[in-house]
Amino acid sequence: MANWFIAFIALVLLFVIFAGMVIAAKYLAPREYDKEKYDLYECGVPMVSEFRYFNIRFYIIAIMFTLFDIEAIFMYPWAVYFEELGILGVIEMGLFIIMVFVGWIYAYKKGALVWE
Amino acid sequence: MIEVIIGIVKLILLVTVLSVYVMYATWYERKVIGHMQQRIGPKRVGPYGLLQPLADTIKSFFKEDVIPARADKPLFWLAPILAPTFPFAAAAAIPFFPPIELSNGTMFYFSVFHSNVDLLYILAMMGLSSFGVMLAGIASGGNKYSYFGAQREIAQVVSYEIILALALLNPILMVQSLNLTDFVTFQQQHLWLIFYQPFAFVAFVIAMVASASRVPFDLPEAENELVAGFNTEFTGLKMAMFFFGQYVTIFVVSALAAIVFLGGWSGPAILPGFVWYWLKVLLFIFMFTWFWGTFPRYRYDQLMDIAWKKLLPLLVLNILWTGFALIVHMPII
Amino acid sequence: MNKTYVVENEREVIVNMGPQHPSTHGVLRFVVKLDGEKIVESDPDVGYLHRGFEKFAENMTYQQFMPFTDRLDYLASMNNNFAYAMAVEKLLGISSQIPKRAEYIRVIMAELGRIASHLVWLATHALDIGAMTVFLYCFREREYILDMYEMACGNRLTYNYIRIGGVARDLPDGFLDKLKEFVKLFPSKVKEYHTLLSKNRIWLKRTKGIGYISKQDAINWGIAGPCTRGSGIDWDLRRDMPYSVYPELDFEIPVYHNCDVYDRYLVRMDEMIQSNRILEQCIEKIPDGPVMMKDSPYVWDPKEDIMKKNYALMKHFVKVVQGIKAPPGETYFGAENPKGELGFYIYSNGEGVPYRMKIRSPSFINLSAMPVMLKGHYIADIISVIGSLDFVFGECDR
Repeated sequence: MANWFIAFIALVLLFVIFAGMVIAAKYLAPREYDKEKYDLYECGVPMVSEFRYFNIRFYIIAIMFTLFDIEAIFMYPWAVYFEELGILGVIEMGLFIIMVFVGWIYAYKKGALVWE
Repeated sequence: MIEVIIGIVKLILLVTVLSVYVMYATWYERKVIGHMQQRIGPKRVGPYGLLQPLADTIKSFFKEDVIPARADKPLFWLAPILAPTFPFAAAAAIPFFPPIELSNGTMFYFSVFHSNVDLLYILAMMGLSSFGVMLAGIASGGNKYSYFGAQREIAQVVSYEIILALALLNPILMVQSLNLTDFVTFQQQHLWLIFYQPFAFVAFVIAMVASASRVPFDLPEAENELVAGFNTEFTGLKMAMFFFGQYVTIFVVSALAAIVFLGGWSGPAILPGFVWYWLKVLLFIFMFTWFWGTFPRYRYDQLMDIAWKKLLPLLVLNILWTGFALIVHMPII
Repeated sequence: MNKTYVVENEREVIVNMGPQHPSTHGVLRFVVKLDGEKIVESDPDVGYLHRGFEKFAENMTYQQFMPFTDRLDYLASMNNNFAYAMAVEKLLGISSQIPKRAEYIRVIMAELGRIASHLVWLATHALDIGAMTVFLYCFREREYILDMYEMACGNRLTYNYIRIGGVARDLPDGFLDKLKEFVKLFPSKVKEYHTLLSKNRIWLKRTKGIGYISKQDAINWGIAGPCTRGSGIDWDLRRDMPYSVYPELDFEIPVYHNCDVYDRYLVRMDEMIQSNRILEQCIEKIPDGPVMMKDSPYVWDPKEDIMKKNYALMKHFVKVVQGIKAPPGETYFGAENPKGELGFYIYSNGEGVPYRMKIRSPSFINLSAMPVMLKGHYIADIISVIGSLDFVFGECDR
């Protein structure tokens, strides 16, 4: 338990250290307000149009990513207890992988991995 | 309680050591790439330009701090803080030296955080480390180039994260532990894992370059395409923070690769263990620079193609084969 | 209003690239309409470097305009000097009277300029796609060429070396030796670039099939130079409308047929080797003799004469103040420049200054075909297409 407490403390402390650095820089750095400078511009000229929506073309891949990442995490305990689970574990995991893999083939055939 | 205090002391040491490391990593990289390109690299500030990183650090503190009027202020502050936090948290689990046995029989580990799930912890922290970049893009308040950078970062995470996880699964299958020390012990008894799992090693190298967003996968900040990508609107120390995080990520993945695939501190006894370990880590850090000097940049749909159409199915097959071969006691290669 | 500036549906975003963008090679402003990262429409916007050279020319004697041509395509100034001098000589009808040595010197300078220009192209093209090392390797060789230029004319960027009727001064001692050394060395350097890029999988992925422009489109848009030869059109003014001493030299015109960025890259790489071959032949064939025409009403007398002889000084005074009186008429001359066909159209009504001068700049015309090449590609491909077109804004905007 102490381990995880250290991990938590570490995370908080790191955050505080870096926040301190950024805030320190705020007081060290000069700041001079200029309307033009503080407004957004693109490559040296005013923006030609406002940013509103953005068409993310890989959203299906992003959805698949969550599935496969969870699959990968499922495989970790199996990999650690590989000896104990033995041949049964390999077969079960093989079936699981094949099932997910069929899903991958389906997605591939459907063209979900191509951006159009 | 004493453990916690030791942990905090270790953490402060870690931050100091890695900060100096990052400073000199930039110097080293500029020097190496300079010589690769038949230049000299930094040489003005101090002997061999050794004070250059110091000058850069001071400069980044005193640069004007511009926050665009339209920026999302809380996120704009949060993003550069998060960017180095998570890589540093991942580095907390990386051992800097081989563990030593104390007189009372307990092991002393040269890492802030030590548990039986080191690897999972590092992967988790590295997964989170992309948040800094994503938030940076969103916080910039409508700058399209920042958005493109953030979007590319997401595309990149979606591509490499699985490869990273699956490529590490093969060694885990063989070692059957998530503890980094166990990996080294295993490789001291057997051969290095790179000889059992060469394909997983190659996949891991690709994924680790992508995770550090370096050439050929430096898509989120591809400066020739996206001006400066996600950090277009960031100035001074805020911008430096992202690079801070990036260099620590490079260190983390390099150390991970050295431990998992190249046997960590195992090696012929002519040199002490930690020398071997650091040689291997530096080898990987050099590899990053080497890639930078050699390769052009991929397009991000091409990175996705590599990850999803080539590496993913091959890695899954590799895992099936490894599991099968291990259970029937067949040689893996 | 241009279609690029109108958003038709919610998914489209208009992004402005340039004039201050790291990879637009100068001051190109480029407005793209994107769907995701895919380009729907694009509109190059030129004119940020417009200096009105064509109008300047109408108020200047023919000789006075020579330094201005340096500022057209500042990466290949010598070629511009050459093209302009040839155009004026054609107008004056003295093309055939240029001394042989001067012609050879001009060709040497032009081919060196071609190599230097292609080196900058390769450097920036590779840098844009992310290969940083190639950039510095290319500049290493270019430095060598610039040193040679400095020997010959004292300048490193804007040379103003070629004159109407010859060249400003003879080659200095040791120039040809240095050139010989360069010619011997250069093919191995090109091989170095090839090893870094030509078979590099990432390079192939970023350039093959990108920026397609068909043979017919290339003709319709009037693209010239390496870009057409990458689209399978076997057309090179040095061979097809020969000028200077090119007919005496033996060289090949590289032509590739896939019409994409990679083929344009290969064309330029091969052209560097061919230019090297031309240089090799020039070193052997270059004759001795004067480097400037003599006793012509259109050409300035040698400096020694002006200093010593009264009549020569008077003539010189008249030529400088009033300009050389070109016969009335019009002429067009196009030279094969590194970027394409650089043409000078000169209309003279018999005065000391041209009545009208029009410069056909290859950069401008190549750039105009860019929206065709970009349609349907990703934003990251813009830079590889820009790189493959190899334009220089001094020339495009004039």
